[in-house]
Amino acid sequence: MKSVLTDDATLVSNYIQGDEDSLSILIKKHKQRIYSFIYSKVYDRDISEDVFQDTFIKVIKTLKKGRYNEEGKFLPWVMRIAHNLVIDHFRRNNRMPKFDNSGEFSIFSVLSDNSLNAEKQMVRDQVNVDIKRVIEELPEDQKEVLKMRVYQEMSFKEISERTGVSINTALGRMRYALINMRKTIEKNNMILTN
Amino acid sequence: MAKIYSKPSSVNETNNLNPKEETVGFILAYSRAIKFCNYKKTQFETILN
Repeated sequence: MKSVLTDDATLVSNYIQGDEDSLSILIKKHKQRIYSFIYSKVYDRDISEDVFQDTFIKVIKTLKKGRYNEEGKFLPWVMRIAHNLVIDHFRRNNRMPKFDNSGEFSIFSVLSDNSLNAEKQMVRDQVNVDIKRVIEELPEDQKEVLKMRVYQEMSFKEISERTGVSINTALGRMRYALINMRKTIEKNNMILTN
Repeated sequence: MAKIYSKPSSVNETNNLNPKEETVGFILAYSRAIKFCNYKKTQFETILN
C-alpha cells in the first residue's frame, strides 16, 4: 500500500536520501503515461524504449546530483524531459515523424504524383506533334470545325454561325474529320497514347 | 461524403502502452550502480560494474 499512499514528492525525497525502492515505485506509477506519451510522438516501440530509458537516466542523474528542486510536480518534470528527448531524437535524425507505410493501408494509394516525369513529358510532346500533323492532313472545312470544337471549345451552334453552315453540316464535318483522322492514324501505325 | 482512408489510432493503442520489463530493470540497475561523489567543488560520477 506504500505506493498508493505515498505521494511523488515524498518518494522523490526518499530516493534522494538513498531509498532505491522509491524510484521503483515512481516508475511503476508513471511508466504507462510517460511511455505512451513518447510512443504517441515517435510511433516506434524500440525508439520509445530508448527515449524512456534516457528519460529516466536523466531523472536519476539529476536527482542523485541533488539538482532537483521540488518547484513543480514530479510527473510534469519527467514529461518535459521526455518531450525534450523526443525533440532531440527528431533533430538527430533530421526528420519529422513519418508514415512508415508498413500496414495494409498504403499511403501511396491515396497520394499520387500527377506531374509528368521527363520520359512521360517527352512522350506527350511527341503525341501532340503527331496529332497536329494528322489534323493538318484534313481537308480545310473539317480542320476548321475540329479546331473550333476541340481547341476553342465552341458549341456546334456557334461553329455553324461562325462558318455560315447549318448545325448538321458542322456535325457532319466533325464526324468526317474524326473518321479521316482515325484512318490516317491506322495507316501510319501511329500510337497516340501516353 | 469523403472517405477517410487513414486508420484512426485507437485510444488503447497509444494510451495503454508500457515499457518492457528489461527497460525498467535496466533503469533500476543503473540507479543502484551510479554514485556521485563530491570532492571540494568537483562532482565525480562513478558506475559500478
